[in-house]
Amino acid sequence: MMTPEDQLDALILRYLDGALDENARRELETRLRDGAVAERLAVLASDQMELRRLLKSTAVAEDVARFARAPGKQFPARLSKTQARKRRWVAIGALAAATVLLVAAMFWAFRPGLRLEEGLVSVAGVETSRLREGERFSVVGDRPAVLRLGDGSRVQLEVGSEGVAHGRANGTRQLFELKHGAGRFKVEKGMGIFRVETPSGKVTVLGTEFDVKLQPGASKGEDNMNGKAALTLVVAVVVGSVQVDWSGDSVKLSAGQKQAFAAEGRDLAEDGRTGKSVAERAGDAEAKQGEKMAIMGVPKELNDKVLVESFDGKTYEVLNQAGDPAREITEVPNIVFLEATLVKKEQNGITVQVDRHGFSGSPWTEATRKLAAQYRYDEKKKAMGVMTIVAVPRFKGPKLILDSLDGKSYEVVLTESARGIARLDKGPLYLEVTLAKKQEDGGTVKLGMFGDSPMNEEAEQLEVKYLNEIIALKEAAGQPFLDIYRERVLERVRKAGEAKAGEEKAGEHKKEGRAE
Amino acid sequence: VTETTFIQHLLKCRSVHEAMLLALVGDAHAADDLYQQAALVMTRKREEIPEDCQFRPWSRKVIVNVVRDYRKQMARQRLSLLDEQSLERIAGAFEKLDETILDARREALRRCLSKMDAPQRKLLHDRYEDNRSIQELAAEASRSRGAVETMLYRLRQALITCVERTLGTGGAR
Repeated sequence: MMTPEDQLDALILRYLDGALDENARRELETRLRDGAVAERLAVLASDQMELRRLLKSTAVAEDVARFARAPGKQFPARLSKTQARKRRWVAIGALAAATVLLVAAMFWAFRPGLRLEEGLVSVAGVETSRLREGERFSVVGDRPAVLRLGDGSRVQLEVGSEGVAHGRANGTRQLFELKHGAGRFKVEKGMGIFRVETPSGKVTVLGTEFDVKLQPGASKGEDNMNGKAALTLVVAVVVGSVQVDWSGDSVKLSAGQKQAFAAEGRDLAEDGRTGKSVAERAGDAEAKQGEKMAIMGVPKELNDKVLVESFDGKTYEVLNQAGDPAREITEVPNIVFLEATLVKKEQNGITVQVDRHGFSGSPWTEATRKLAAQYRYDEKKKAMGVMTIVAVPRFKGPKLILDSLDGKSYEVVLTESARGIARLDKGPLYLEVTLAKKQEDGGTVKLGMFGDSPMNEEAEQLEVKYLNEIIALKEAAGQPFLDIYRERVLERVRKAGEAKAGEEKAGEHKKEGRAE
Repeated sequence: VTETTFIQHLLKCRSVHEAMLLALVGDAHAADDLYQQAALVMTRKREEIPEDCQFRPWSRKVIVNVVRDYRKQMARQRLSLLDEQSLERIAGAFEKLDETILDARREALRRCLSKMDAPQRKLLHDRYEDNRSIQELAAEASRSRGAVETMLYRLRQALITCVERTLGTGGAR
């Protein structure tokens, strides 16, 4: 039988769980007239928040993860008193044996080094659930494999993926070689470099979460002769940022960004027929059929076609690799950069097939950067209404809202890349947006580039302006502002202060000159 | 209030602010979102804090105002929160909470949670940390929604009893 105190607790717990119906809510309101009930509610709400924090802590989360893998024990059992008595003696007998097993299991579970947590792998053609560093393995079975690496980082590899976990090697704290397939890497924060090496490039990270995928790329003569297909490296960053070294180039990707890179030394940007690089052809629309070119322009959909009005004055019809209209490029709100192959050139238009495009509208290769400089990308963006804001994202039902630090709120037109924000933590983001509908206190915006660090000069200036707010919000969202980064920003603050002081001094001199 | 002091206050009070929001709106998801909003408002208004003003009462007023705005939005969607008097009483109750007792409860809760077995912790984890719905948990465990609700309630009640026994406050409410 429940005591009145238990009944009150039950009512409060249901309320905190969001499970009260209208009548129960009224009952709670009536009972809250008693100050002691309000205090009890305050205490139990504090307990509930603390419980969430404790459940989030590594020890409990790992314990839960281990249990989740054990089959047949998914729901807490409740024993009757009689059942419990009957089982007690059996349990005591089993306890001794279990203790021995437990010690062995704990020794196994907590040993440092590589561990296969889920799924099945095959080493030298033999299926196994144990892996050693340096062994080449492939993921077999019907579900992804989850590996815990020596530094606590985790990698989830798709079935068919092949790789080698090297552990501490080549000056890294953890080196993972992905030879084939795809994986999501959740990297533990810590000292040292975490690196993923693939045949198409290297991804270097420090405390982040990202996807790496190797997919068959365009055929190359040399590859075909060797019976191998070139692999395109696709990197998508979920949290933090990574550096991708590929083909002698280096690109930094931030949270929400995704980009494809061709095989190392076999850049897709190189034209197979003429050997002329796309970089050399940047801005040149005189390519011949089958040749590669770079395009910078504004995408739009018209009569079921995707067109790009290029800044070289021409309009291109853009197809994707499947030969369909490349609708994915229209997600970019204003200016898009493409590397493409010319399919046909007729009097009434030029058709190209897109090889790669900047995921969030940014130039990312020598060729596209050359176009960006040639056509003054930053000025064009501004002229087209692209603005930079620092804002905290939140979901209001299905709507994505950005609360900008300048006091305005914007609703975001939802696209696949915009949904990427949902995977980020709730800290402040730097975003390039275009107003689709203006309102007094904000409006509706289309999203361009975004990330948790500034992506352009304007964003850097905003970071200086709102530095304290950004630090506070990042801390509040559990994203401590790294000291090294803080120093970099403070350096910019100092320089901005010096520049301002210089301007003021120059103004005073001018004034004095006029007075004399 | 200097900027550094403001940030220190904001971080120190985070758990109380979050608990207060949960108590005021009775919805963990909404409380999370509202905390972000409240922190943003506080950050924007930090220069308005008078020098002799105490941060806690000021920040709690900000939180109550954020919740009032939220209530208006909910009312437009014909969803109701607790009435105005209840909000004020709950906010008032947080003013009276003794930090020392809350700290002791936190420590006791940690110990009590560690005494639970793995299936019990997993259920709590799935519900309160992963924010999974009762319906989803029931489907996964092939149980009825009522069974999962009851089990969760029993686990929470067991934790409360354990905490209060540990602190020697059982029954003294």
